[in-house]
Amino acid sequence: MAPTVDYHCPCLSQSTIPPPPHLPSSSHSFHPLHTLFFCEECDAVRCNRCVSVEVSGYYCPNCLFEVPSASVRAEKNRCARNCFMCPNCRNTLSVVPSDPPDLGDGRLAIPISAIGEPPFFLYCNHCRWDSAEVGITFEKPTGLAAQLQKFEDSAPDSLEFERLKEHFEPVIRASSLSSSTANAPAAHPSSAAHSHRVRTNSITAAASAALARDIPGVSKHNPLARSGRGGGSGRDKTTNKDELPEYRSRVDITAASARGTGGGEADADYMRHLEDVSEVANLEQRWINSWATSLQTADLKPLRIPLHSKRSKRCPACAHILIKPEQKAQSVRYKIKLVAANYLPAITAALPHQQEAANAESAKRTLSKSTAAAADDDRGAAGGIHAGKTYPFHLALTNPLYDPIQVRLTVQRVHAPAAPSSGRASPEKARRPPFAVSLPSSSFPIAAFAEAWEYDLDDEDDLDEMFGLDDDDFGVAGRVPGRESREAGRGKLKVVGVLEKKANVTVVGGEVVIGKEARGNVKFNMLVSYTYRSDDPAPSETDGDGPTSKAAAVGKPPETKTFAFYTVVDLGPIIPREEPRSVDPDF
Amino acid sequence: MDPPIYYSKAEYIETDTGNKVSRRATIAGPQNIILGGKTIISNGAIIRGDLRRTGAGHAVVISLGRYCVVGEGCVMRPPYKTYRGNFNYYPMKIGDHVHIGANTVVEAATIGSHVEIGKNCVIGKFTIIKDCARVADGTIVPPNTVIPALALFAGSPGRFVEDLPESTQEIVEAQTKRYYTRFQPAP
Amino acid sequence: MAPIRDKYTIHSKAVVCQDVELKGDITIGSGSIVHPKATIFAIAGPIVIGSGCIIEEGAIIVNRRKEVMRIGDDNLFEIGCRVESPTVGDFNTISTRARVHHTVRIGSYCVVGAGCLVVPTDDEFLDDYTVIYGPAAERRTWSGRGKVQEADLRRKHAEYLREMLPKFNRLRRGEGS
Repeated sequence: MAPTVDYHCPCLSQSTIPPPPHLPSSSHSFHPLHTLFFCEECDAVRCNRCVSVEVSGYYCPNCLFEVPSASVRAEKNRCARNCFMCPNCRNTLSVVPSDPPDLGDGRLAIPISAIGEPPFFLYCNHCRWDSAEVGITFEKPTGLAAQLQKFEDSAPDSLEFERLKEHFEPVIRASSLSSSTANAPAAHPSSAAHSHRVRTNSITAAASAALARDIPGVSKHNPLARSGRGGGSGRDKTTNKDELPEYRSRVDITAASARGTGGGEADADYMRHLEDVSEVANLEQRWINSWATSLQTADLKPLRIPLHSKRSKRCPACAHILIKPEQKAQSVRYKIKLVAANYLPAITAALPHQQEAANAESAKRTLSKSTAAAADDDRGAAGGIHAGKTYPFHLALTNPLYDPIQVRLTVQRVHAPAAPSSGRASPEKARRPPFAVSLPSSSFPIAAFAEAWEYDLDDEDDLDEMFGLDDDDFGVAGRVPGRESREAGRGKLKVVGVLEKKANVTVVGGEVVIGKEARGNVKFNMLVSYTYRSDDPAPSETDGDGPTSKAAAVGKPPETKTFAFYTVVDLGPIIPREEPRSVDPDF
Repeated sequence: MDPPIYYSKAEYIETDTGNKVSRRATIAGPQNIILGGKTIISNGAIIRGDLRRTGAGHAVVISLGRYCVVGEGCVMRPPYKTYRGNFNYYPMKIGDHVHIGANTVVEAATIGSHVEIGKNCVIGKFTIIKDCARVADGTIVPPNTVIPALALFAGSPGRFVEDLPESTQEIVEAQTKRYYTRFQPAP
Repeated sequence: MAPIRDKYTIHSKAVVCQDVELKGDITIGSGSIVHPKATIFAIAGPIVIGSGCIIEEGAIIVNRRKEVMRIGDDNLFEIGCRVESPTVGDFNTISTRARVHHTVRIGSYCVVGAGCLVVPTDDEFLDDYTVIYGPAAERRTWSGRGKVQEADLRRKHAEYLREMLPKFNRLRRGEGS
């Protein structure tokens, strides 16, 4: 696997120090750069786990119809046009006409009319399930959902649900009234509390906010309220509960299973006499239904396709919008798009020895007869990292800003790899002896991004990459100017330091010394701080909750700003030395 | 930093607009195929420009935009059906920055821009793939499927897995351009 | 085993493209179509293909057994599929990149879905209207609804190809090679 560099999002945590790189749980705090956002207001990185999300529009993923939010609820969050999912394999169904009368010779008796012969039915072109198998056919090939509506509405479970809604309606209305007067502070900020104070998953936050909006006063009947989170609403709840009239169900629950709602004696009886297992719908086929359904394959109904949504994202701290998509469902443009990739330098890591191995492999491949499929997996095997050795590595930093920046890299001090066993939970003797990482200690510049690079790049890259990292052409040195610096660097063992500057990319070299007993991955946290020219003469406290490192104080102090962020660099697994040892090597 | 991908110079024909077409690819009916420029057709690919719509006049059967890659062993073939009793093949249109992995078969109607299709996929007849969507390796997309913008599809039948990040367009664009620069004749 | 002599019997109304790999004793019936880059190998015994079949590009049909491999009428072998079945009935669809082992005999109106592997170790017969689909090659039985329209589509498709393919591709003809 190629080395990776992920970026740390503190997710509003007080400490901006990232968790130790090796713990599996730490992976939640590190993200690929392209998934991160950047809040200009807070001057901080945000990720999908911490932003607040709101729906800005609904659409059907199949017919791409944009559903007005007003009708979403009435249509039960599913497409109300002609889009259905196969209950057997979940493919999208097509509406097809019936066959014309077969004259036996396979020829069509009459040319098929424009829309075909009724009755129409839904047909899956993947598993060939069709709705006629379960007795559903249509007189015309349009407005299918409306034609099916009567089935859906008359189903015992949806009737029951309607009845339940009616039953609770007055209570909800009453409680929402009382909540707005009596204990407004407890009930109202609930949605805010979910998305802001309690940093739950963004989706949960959005969902709970939506719930709170749909049924005002829901917090009163929230089971969580009992455990004290609901604050003062506890007393109200008991009084409301007393007012609730008793609910009487439409059908007796003991008889319900016989009507195909699932569960109970009827199912047990059915299973007892089962002969062919394919007559039972499997779990996957049944649980995409909104309601409990019959066990039998023969009862599977086509499912209206659930809607998708376009979402806006906000900064969890200052609520400024980070992502605001265009209204049109299939547009991939955004009115607002504050992504971290436009602010932070992009960093890619590479192990030169690994690339050489891969190159040699691909060269072999192109010359012999080849299939591309096998090629991708070779990298790891060819250029492994062996314990007890020293490897150079490259970090390429790309500056997305229109101004040059000064960058300084530091390996995280707290859990410095010099003494990694202290950070590890394992109390026994250091099982994963250290690897030591050296990085250039001084700051280095990266040129500004300019649109023009995009076009120049093609040719420059050609040359450079053609002669750059490939060991095959070591013999033909000095043909390209760009090559010389790197070549020289290597020759003089200048492994650590700036290796190459080209356009808005600077490549620096580092070195990692792997301990003799090392295991696991070469994975370390790296602090990246960069200084850039700020547009506005801002006050000194602009760093927000980014790690306030005052490193790299170069240039004109009043006009520069420094931003620092953590990354985790994973250079890949260490191949342990083969040694006869009594200890279990797997641990 | 990515290493170059070498090809043997004798094996590829480069056009004025920078398209690189393997001599070991099968291009049937080339007069009905449009390549947008800087598009790569790899070894062993089969492109069926001969399956054209009947009727008079010039018919474009398959059009690919700029910076596309048709991987090794891919088959690109226009979809067919009967409409009002008449049989016909229908054109296939593909946008810019579309990568199609090795050994994938495509019979789509339209594929937007910035779309990544993995290797060993089957993209069924009349599939519509919107911008910035991605199809994972080995996905079987049944005929007439619609893949919405910024969606990841996988499985058999291919189904929605997750939404892709907002910056997908930029990522794919950079990747396809980089691939084109990396793809160069062996020294 | 003795190397089989190449002997191609191609019906005058069949369309077999030049860029096709044929080996062994092969008979191709009236109105059948073989796209360029298809492969038909009669390694051990002969292969007899009926009328109205369409064999698309990259499809591979192999007979590893001594007995004659009989393929019925109006079958569709889609792109890159591989079929070694000793018998194939009529109106079957072997979808794109599906593979069917020589242990499987195929009835009529069967569909082997795209990318499905049907490779049982013991001999097996696929009953008429069997549908194989999905990642685990699951099976079910098709109701047969729509088969008249499908047959109509296939015949018109073959008709179209018989007319159009010769305009763009060089063809193989008749006896020997």
